[in-house]
Amino acid sequence: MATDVLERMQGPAAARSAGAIAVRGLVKRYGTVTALQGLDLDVPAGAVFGFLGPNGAGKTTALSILAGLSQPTAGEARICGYDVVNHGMAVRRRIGFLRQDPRFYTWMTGREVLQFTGRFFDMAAAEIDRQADALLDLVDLGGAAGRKMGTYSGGMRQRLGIAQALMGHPEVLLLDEPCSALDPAGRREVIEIMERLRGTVTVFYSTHILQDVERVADAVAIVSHGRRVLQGTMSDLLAASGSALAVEVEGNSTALVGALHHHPAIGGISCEPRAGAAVQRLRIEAVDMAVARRTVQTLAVELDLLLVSCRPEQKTLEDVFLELTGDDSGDIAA
Amino acid sequence: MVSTATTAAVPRTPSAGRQEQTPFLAGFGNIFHKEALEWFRTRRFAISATLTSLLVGVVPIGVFIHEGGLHHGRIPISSGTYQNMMNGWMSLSVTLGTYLMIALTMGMLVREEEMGTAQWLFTKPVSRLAYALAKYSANAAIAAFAAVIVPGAIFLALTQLLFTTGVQHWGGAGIALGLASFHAATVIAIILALSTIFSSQGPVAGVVFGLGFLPFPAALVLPLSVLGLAPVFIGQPALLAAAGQHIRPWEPVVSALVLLPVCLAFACARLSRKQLQ
Repeated sequence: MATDVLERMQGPAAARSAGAIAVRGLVKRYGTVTALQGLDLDVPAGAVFGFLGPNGAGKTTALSILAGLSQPTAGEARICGYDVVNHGMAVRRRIGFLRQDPRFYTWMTGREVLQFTGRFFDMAAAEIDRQADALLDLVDLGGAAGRKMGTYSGGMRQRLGIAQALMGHPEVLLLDEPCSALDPAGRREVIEIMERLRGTVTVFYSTHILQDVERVADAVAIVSHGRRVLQGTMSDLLAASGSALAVEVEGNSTALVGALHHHPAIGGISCEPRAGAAVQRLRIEAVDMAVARRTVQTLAVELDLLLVSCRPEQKTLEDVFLELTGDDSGDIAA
Repeated sequence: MVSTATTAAVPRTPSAGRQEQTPFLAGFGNIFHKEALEWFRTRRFAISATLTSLLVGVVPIGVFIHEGGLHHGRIPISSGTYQNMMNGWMSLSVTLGTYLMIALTMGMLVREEEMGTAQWLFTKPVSRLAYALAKYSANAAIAAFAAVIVPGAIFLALTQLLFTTGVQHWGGAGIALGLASFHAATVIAIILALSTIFSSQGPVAGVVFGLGFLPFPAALVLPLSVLGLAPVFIGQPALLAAAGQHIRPWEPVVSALVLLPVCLAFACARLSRKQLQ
């Protein structure tokens, strides 16, 4: 039943083939405070897109504008081709939004929250009930559907928040820090739901929890001080950021280090001291990764060393994030 | 491909040129239904109707019930006492009814924003005009029913059953109830308008209370002909109507008829431009 709902949410092919979210030069000022300073974003349809940045970077402000809660001071934002300012109603028919720490009417039951939400989308009562049941199953709240919202835990409220955002078959799901207020178990549950949504709906979610992004996001944009500092797919992002080789050689590596020292493709070499070990580990900063790799392989053969491994150093998203955001990254959680 | 560059134009899908109908009052029915349901599910209606029925419907009768012995199973009262009783009922209806109205509805917009439920609703296909009008109409109708009509009906029924005079002017009593309900609806419209200015319930309640008392100090500097326009004086024609007398003055009713739509328009305009996070 839940799968059926996910299939129905895929929306028109035309919308899916184009970008789901396009933002250009978005500026938002609150008096003298500038929350967004010309933000640009392109979110492909169907992607799980991580919107990453430290607290105060402008993530919530950007999401508020996309969801139609506030208006930009300058710039343009479109969802499924519709301008969020001039075609707000058309945008809101196509999005599902989950606030950070969502709140619902405490006197309503979980099922009633979904039914109430469904009635905004001109759906027949039977279809609302059917979709509500399917979504309650999807977020694993079927057993608590009859309980009042006042009795729900933070994690349950968050999961119901995702379910209500999915009511009405949205094309784009906007989630503002969906995991930040949750314990590890609650975080895992929400991430698993997002994984289940992959390919059925565009998921655009803000977070400062890097571990979650690495686990679930197809693509990511990093924002700092209201500006995008980087955007790309996860694999591109990590590969492009790698500028060092991790080398393991068996034998005396001193000659190799000496030969590499003045090579134009090599920026620097550090050696991990491993007294008595047969395999030595080197970290070689490459000016040109391909040339540096070939040089290491050639020299290892010439110097009669056994090259155990020679591969680009795997950077984590945390490394990339810290490089890009510098001092602004104090609130980031790895 | 990793990108940090800024591109010039926002890409548009084929659907971008399509103009979608924006229903003027999208979501009105759903929000009205939710508001009405909330009054009953949170027991707000039962509690407020019971309280006002005791204070407005029963107390004015209790004060006069000891007047004399029974006559044909009913309590005999003079026409003067009857007038006093009707005056007491209508005065309580307008004053206590107003206070209760403020207490019951001062959070109708502000509390939703404090809780975050307004922000939730505004991300759905709901027009803000529909939101404001649905909130107003549901709260005005149900609050007036709980704080004016139910206690009024109880008062009139008890008067008819217990006193020899019965209700002497049913038509006048009906008009009085209508005027008191209209006064309540005007108070709620003012609360709605103030709720779009202030971000917490205290100032909303404070200003509405203040407006109710404003004519009294204002009497020191303004002529009575101007003061008589204040909607708070609707109690006077209502009082006379209840007693079966000629209804006058009409000025407070007319000014309330102007004030109510002005407040609603103000609230709708403010809410449609309101920025939320």
